[in-house]
Amino acid sequence: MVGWSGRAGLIVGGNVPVSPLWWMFLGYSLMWAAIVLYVANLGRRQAALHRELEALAAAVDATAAEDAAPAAGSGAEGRGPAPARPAR
Amino acid sequence: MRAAALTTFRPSIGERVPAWLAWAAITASMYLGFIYAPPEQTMGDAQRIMYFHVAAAWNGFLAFGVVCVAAVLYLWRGERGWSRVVYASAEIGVFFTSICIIGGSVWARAVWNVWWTWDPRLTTTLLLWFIFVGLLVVRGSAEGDVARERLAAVIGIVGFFVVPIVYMSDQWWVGLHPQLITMSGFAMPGRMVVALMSSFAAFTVFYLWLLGRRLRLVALAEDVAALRERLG
Repeated sequence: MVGWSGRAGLIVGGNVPVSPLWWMFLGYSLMWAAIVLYVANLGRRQAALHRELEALAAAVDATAAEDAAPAAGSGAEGRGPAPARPAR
Repeated sequence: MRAAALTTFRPSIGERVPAWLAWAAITASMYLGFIYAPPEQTMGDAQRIMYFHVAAAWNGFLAFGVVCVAAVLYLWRGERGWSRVVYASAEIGVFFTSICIIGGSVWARAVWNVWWTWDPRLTTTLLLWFIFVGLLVVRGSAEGDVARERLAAVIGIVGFFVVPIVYMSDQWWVGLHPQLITMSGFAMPGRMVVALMSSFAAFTVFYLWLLGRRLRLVALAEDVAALRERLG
């Protein structure tokens, strides 16, 4: 057993009836719970955003396809129907 | 952006290696803190809370320092990437400061017989925590609003000035908090210093991993917001 040269030892004194092991486990349990919850929360948020991004990207693709369909039907884009021959 | 180009989310090797490194470093630091370092003669094993408590406090300071630098660069250059760093690092700083307060509170209950007391170090740490929570509220509600992002950056710079006040508080004012790390060195035996240093290193690796992960999350959220806007 070694002592700190800080002030904490002076405050506590030698006869305070604490169960140090219990407090150590409680302290580490709470700190680890906070760490695990935060890391899990990051993962959950990332997965949710990925799902939303995929859904939104699919919606954007669908909208773009809808916009392109009437244009293709009218022959405004691409090759379209061949122009009529001029009459002789 | 094409839906087909998006792949299902899976962490890459580049993400997994720092993660394993961080967890391995924390495991090693716990071994040093629990087994290698001797128990303190008055507090016994309760003193071992210090290894996570102080390392978390240090990483809170580090995270807020990164916030300050990124905030200055954002206000100076106006690049949004720095605003993302402000947001990401501030959240991680609040997380580490929360761990510091939780661990410190349990230690205080074991040693001082109270969960909380208005000691200068505790009070200034709580003030620091509230300032950066305020930053998160402002930046979290920005949604592309440059004025709010700039305000968050200003809060980050001002908030960082509280860090030296937290550090010096137990020397400027009379309080109960132990002064273990001073300008003249560590007020504890060598083995405890080794365990504490390993916790510092482990938490710093952990911070860097979290920062990378959180930055990707901010970028992802902005992509989602941009697509939502495009769809109306």
